[in-house]
Amino acid sequence: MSMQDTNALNARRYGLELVACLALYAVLLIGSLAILDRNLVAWMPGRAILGLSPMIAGFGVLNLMMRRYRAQDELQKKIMAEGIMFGFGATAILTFSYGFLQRTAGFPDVSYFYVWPVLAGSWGIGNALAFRRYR
Amino acid sequence: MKNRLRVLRAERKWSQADLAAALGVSRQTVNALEIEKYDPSLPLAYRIARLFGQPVEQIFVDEAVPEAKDPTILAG
Repeated sequence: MSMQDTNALNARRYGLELVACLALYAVLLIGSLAILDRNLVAWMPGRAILGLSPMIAGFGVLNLMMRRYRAQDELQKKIMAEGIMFGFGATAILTFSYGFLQRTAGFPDVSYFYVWPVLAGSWGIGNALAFRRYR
Repeated sequence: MKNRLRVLRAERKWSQADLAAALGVSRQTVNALEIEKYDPSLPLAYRIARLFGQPVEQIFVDEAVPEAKDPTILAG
């Protein structure tokens, strides 16, 4: 089997594992919300644990991302690193900007849930910019 | 850094995918090397040299030091 085939196989396996993680996330999210919304658990630590349960799938995705990164070749790693660096800086600028706007211009409080879409979006843009540099 | 990768590959009638498979890198990386947008790491440069059976300095040319094409000059 050539390296190309191995890469293709890896990409497919990672895809399958990602789908499995996202499916687990959906099941845990829907299941925990169903329990919490019906107030079937009153004990606060129990509610916190249930509320955090979807993050079990998050650790799966984190593990997957790290393995994916290590499986890349040297240029792909460089591109990914440049993309992440861009996303890291852009997220810092955007979240700090919003923080200042909250303090100075009365912008409303927003959920921490928005941090990830901001990071993922700017990481995606950074990846695309880095990708273009080497083609 | 200039290199002769595209010529060497063409001489062997390999596709970029063939070369990528032989080197254990992606086709994108082979392309970036050929269009000289990316300089390989030392280990990858040596893998390329081994694959084509030529010294690294005959495949990659350091334009900043033209004399370096002749390794005996560096030996002083």
